Amino acid sequence: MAPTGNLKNKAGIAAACAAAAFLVGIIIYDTAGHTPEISKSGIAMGTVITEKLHGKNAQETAEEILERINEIESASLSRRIKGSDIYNVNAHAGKAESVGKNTLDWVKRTLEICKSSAGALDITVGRLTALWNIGDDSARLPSQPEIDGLLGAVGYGKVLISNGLIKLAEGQSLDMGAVGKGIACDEASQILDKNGIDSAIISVGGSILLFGGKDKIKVGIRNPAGAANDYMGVLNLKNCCISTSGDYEKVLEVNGKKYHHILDAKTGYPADSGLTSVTIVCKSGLLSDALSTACFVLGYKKSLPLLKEYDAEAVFITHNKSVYITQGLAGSFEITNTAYSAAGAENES
Amino acid sequence: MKQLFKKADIFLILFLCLAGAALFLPGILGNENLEALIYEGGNITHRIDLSEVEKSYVIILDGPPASTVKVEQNAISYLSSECPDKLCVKAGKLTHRGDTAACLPAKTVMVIEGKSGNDTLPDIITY
Repeated sequence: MAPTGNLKNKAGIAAACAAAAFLVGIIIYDTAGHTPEISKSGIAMGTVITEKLHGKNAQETAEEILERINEIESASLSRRIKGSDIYNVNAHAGKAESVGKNTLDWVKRTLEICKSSAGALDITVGRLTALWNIGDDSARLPSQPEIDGLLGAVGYGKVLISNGLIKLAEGQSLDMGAVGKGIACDEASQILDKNGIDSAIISVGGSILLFGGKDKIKVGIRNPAGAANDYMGVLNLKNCCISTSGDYEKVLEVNGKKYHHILDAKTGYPADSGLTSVTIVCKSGLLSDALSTACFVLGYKKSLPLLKEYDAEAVFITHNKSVYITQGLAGSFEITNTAYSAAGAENES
Repeated sequence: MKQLFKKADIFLILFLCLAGAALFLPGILGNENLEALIYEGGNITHRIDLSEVEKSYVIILDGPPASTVKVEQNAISYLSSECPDKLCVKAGKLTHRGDTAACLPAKTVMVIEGKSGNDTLPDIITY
């Protein structure tokens, strides 16, 4: 039997309502800024990678980022993996070595920061890093003659770059460990952008990329005196890179004395500037990573001109638990652990 | 004039609109419970709703090196590991959203996800 006109109307209205209901759902969903979230974790560059992505193709993008980080490590930055650009440059110190375009660019940019920091960051400490080997089972306290014997070859100014070639001085060795995680964040950012991802939080061993999104993200700063997941304060940020260098991450203990892994290229020993950690906030991962090491070596006061030069902000934590922040973070940082106290915001103008 | 909608039609419209919105609520609100994700070699091998755990138990991750994971109500931790530095065990209990622990030699990672119920907690930690 054919439906009556009344029934036809009802069916039409019901269909229209169903469509409207679906639309209402989508509008609410979109207004709330929610797209499916994908989480992924893995290990690369000898550290933990965690990814949270919102947007279409999030799963594929998360995979692509992890693959890219592995590729950066094995083809370019590792000083341990045979065949990587840095491995080859180090193995042929004294001779000009051809490297990939990316490696060349990363080394150039890092050397500029080495220069700006007057060697507080110096990527030619490779042999000293290998001598101490802090963070590895074979770590040991070297003798003074051993350190003195390697200090002579250290010096970013001795690295020559021309026509796509890198030439180290005899006995020199590059260590890109101070910028590798930051470079990984920059590469992740490019992939996220290319794939049209809405928002993402990427952590490469504690160096963090905050990508896109409408809301600010709460980023805890690790409590240097606490356990791995303990934090002493919280930054509220978006669309930036954050890197931290601290004396707690990799430690060698000999006769009750602790030696951390951030070496001062001038002395050959772990840096001792009165800081226990420095967190840097800026637009580039390479920069935030490099500056966190440089500022850790320089100490609070001497870091300020460098931060100003690169338009970066920072949180400094001293051994006596005083916390200094740069002016640009004054409204974005809160100390949450009462053992720490604010020492002031530095006026950089 | 003929009335376009009867009372029952209006109720039907409201019901369908609410039903449409409800379809998307889980995505909007997210997972209310704390969930532990265990990754082995980059793949999720265990997904545990920690709030549903009534009695603690142990999971063995083969590695190598092998490790044991203790699962408790609202907490998870590496109990022991055959790795050299035991950093995974030293990480202690993971109890909040964003807490992470890893055994690098075994290529295993544990991450807590879900809603914390406490908006002041960080989403991630820089270290």
